[in-house]
Amino acid sequence: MSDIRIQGLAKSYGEVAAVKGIDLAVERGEFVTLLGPSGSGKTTTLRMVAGLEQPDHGTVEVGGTVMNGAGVNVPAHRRNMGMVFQSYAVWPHKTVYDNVVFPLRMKRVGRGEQRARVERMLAMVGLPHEEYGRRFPAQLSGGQQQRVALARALVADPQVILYDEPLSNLDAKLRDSMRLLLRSIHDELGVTALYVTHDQLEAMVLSDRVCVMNHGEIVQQGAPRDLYERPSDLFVAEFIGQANVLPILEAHPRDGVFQVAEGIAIKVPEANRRNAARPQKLVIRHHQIRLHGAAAPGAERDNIFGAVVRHAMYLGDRVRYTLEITAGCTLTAEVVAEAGLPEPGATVWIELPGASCIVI
Amino acid sequence: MPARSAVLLSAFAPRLWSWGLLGAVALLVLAPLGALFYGAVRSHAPGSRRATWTLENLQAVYGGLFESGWAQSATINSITVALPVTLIACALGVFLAWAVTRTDMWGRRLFEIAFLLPMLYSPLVGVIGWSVLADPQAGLLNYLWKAATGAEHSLVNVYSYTGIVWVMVLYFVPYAFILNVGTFRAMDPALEEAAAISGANLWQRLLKITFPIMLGSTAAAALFIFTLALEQFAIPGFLGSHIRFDTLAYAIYLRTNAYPADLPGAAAAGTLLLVLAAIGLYWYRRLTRRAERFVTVTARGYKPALTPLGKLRPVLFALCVLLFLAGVAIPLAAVTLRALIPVRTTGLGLGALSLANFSQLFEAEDILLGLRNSVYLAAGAATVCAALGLLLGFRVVRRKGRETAATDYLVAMPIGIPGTVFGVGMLWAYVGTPLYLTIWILLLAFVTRYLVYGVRTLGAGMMQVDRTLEEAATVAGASPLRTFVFVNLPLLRPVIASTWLIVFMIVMREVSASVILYGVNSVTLPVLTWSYLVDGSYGIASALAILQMLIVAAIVVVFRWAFGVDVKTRSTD
Repeated sequence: MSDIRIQGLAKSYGEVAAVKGIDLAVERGEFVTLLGPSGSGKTTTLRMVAGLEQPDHGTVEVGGTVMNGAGVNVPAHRRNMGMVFQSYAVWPHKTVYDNVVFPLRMKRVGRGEQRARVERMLAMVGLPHEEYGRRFPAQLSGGQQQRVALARALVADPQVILYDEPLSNLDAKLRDSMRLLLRSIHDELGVTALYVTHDQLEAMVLSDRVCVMNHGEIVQQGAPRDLYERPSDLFVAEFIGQANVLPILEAHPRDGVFQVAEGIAIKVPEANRRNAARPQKLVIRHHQIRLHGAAAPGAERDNIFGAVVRHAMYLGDRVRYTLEITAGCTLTAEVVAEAGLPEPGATVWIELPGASCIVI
Repeated sequence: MPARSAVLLSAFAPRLWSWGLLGAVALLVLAPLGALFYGAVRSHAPGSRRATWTLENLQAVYGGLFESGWAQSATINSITVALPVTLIACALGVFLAWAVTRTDMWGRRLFEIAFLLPMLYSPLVGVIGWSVLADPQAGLLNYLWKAATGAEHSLVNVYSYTGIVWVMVLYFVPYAFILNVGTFRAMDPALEEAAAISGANLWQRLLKITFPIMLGSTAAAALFIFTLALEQFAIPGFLGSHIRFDTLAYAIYLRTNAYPADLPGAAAAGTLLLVLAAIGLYWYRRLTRRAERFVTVTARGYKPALTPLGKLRPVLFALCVLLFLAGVAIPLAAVTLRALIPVRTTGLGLGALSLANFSQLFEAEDILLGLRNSVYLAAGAATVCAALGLLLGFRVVRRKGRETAATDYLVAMPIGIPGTVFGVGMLWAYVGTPLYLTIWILLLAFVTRYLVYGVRTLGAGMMQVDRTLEEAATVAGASPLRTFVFVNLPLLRPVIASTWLIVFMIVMREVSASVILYGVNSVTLPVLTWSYLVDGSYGIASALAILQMLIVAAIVVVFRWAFGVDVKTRSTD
C-alpha cells in the first residue's frame, strides 16, 4: 500500500518549469531518495509534498488522504509530517527540549507523555536529555543541531518524514556517522521517508529506492544497485558512478555488434540494449574493464582488444589507467592495486565483458 | 650594532605607529568629553578671571531633578516624548519591514526605497512641513478645515505635545524600518517552515517563533531609537518653544544661546543628558552582545515563500500608502509650496507662487556664505573621515592588538554623545584656541564625531578583502605601500565612495552641534535654516531646506552613476 502517491505534479516559477508533471509512489516504511543536480526540481517536489509550495497541477496523497488535488490544498501545519532542513532550522530562542517538544504541544499531547516521548527521541539521536535538554542551539555543534532537528521531526509520530539535503552543511566525517544514524533510526521506527540530495553516495547508502531527477523529471528509478549497474539513461550513467561513454558509429543490432571506433566493434548481449531503435552511446564503468597483461587470453572470448598504457595513476588501493585502444579512442579503467601491473608505455590486452556494456 | 638597532626599530616601528595613532585618537575624542566635565565644575566661562571650581552647576541640575524647575521639567519632557515616539515608530517600522520583506504586498520594492527618502533630508523638513500644515492660525489643514466646515476653531495644532510626538514618530519610522528590515532578511525562512510542519498555524508561528526570534534585535533597535529621540534637538526644540515645552537638548542650547551665555550650566545639563543616553546605549550593547540566541543560520539562496495576504492585501497596501503620504509626500509638498510663496499669507492664490525665495537665496550674503561653508565642511569632513578611516580601519582589521582594539573603541565613543552635548564639550575644549568661532572647529567636531563611520565601514570592507590577495602581491615583489595602492585601494573603491557619501550627507544636515559651535563667519545651511525658521521666515527656511536636499540628491545621483554606490545608511544624527 502506498503511503505517498504523487500524480502529474507540476510547478513553474514564471517561465521556468521547475517540476514537469512527475508520478511517484512511496510504499509504507520505504526510504525513497530524490537524487539530482541543483535545479533538477527535487527540492521543489519535496516542498510540495510538505505543503510549503503550492503545485500548479497534479495531486499529492498521503496515507490515503488527498493533500493537493482538485480544489484541495491542505496547509502544511495540518499534514502531520516531519521535516529536516538543510539549515537545521532549530529555533535559536528555545532550548533543545523546547525545540523537540514543540510538535507535541501543537498536537496537545499530555504533559507526562510529552516528556517521556521527548526523552526517548533525544536518547535515540544520541543527545541524552540530562546532558543536552537545557542547552540552547548556539551551544551545540552543527551535527548536534541537526540531531535536534531530527528528533523534532520524528517526535510526533509523523505519517512521513521529509529530508531536504540534511547532511550537506556538515563536514565529511560527520556526514558518515549521520548517515548511519539516519538509516538505523529508519530501520527502528519504519517511518516512510522521502529524502532529497545531490550526493549519489548518500542516496546509495540510505535508500531502498532512488529516483534520479533531471530538468524537472524523474529519468529513472530503482534500487541503488540497479541504477548503478543498469542505467537506462545517459544522464543516470554519468551522474551515478564513473563510466566510459563511447559514441556508437555503426550499429548492427542483428548480431549485437556496435562499432565505437575504426576497427573496434563491441558485442553487447540483448538484455543490455536499452535503446534498440536508435543506439547512440556505449557505456562501461571504469572498474569493469579487465586487464589481461601481455599474454592474449583465449580466442573464445569476445571484446578483446590490444591497448597501449598511456598513464597509470596510483590511488592507493586502486590504479587508474588511461588506455588507448586505437588512435582517438581511449578508455579509463580502474583495477585493484597489486604487484605486476603494467607500466605506462606497455602494450596490454584488455577485455570489455559484454555483460557490463550497456547500449543507450 | 647599528644593524641590530635598525632591526629593532623596524620590529617596533609598526607598533609605535599603532600606539601613536591611539594617542592621537584619544586626544581627539577625549578632549570634548573631558572639557564637558571640567566645564560642569567651573563657575564661569573659560578665560574669565572670576572662574573658580564649584559644584553649584551640578547641584542645580542633579539636585533640580527632585524639585520643580527647569531641570526636572526638561528631563521629564525629554523622556515623555522619547518613550511614545520609540514605541510607535518601532511598531510601525517592524510592521513595514515585515510587509516589505515577507508578504506579497503590491509595490514592495518601491516602498522600500520610498521609506528611505527621509534619510536624505534634515529633520527640519518635517518641522517646516508640519508647521505649514498644522500651525494653529495659518496652517493649511486648519485653513481648509475652516473653509470647508465654517468652523471657528482650528482642527490641529502642531505646537503641542501630540504635535511633537507626531512629527518625531514620522522622522524615526525610517530608522526603525532600516534597523529591522535586515533582521527579517537574515532570518532563515526555514525556521517558520519548521514550525508549520510541526503543526503551528500562522498566528502560532508569528507568536511563538517569528516574534520571539525578532525580539532581541527589535528591542535593541528600540533602545537605539530611544537614545536618538532623547537627544533630538530640532523637532521638539522648535515646536516646543511655542508652548515653553523644553527638552534637555533644547535647554542645553538655550543656555549657550542666551545672553550672557551660561556655559557652565550648559555643561552640567550636558552631563545629565549624556548619562541618560549612556544608560540607553549600555542596555543596547548588552542586548546585542547576547545576540547569538537570536542570530540565525542563513540558508542557501532558496527564495523564501512570501506570506500570501489574501483579503488583507489592499488593507496593508493602503496603510503603507498612508504612511508614505504622512511621513514623506505631504510634508515635502508643504515645504515646496511654502518655498514658492514669497510672503506669509493665509490665502492660496496660485498666481502668488513664485521663485522669489530662491532668487533671494543667491542674493543674500549670509546664505551664499552658509552654502559655501556647508559644502566645504561636508566635503572636507567626508574626505578626512574616509582617509583617516582607511588608515585606522586598516590597522584595526589587520594588526590585532590591545592598542588597535582601544582605538576602535575610542573612535565609536563620540557617536554615543548627544549632538548638543558634544557641541558644548567642543566649545569648552577649544574656546581659548584660534579655532573658536571659525569653520575649523566645526570641521574638527564633524571629523571627531563621524570618524567612526570611516573606521567601521572601511574596516568591514577591508575584512572582505581576502588577505591572500595582499600576500600574493607581496610574494610577487610589491612593497607594502605598492600593495596598498594597487591592490587594496582599487578593491575598496566602492566602500570608500559610500563612506564619503554617508559623512557628506550627515554633515549637510547636521543642526544640533553646529547651532552651538557656529560663528558669524562659519554659518552653515542647516544653521541658517534653523535661524530663519526661528525668526518666522518660513519661505526662506523652506527654500533653504529644499536647496540642501537638492545638493545631497545630486551628489547621491553622481555617486550612483560613478561608483555604483547605493544609499543604505545606518546614520545617527
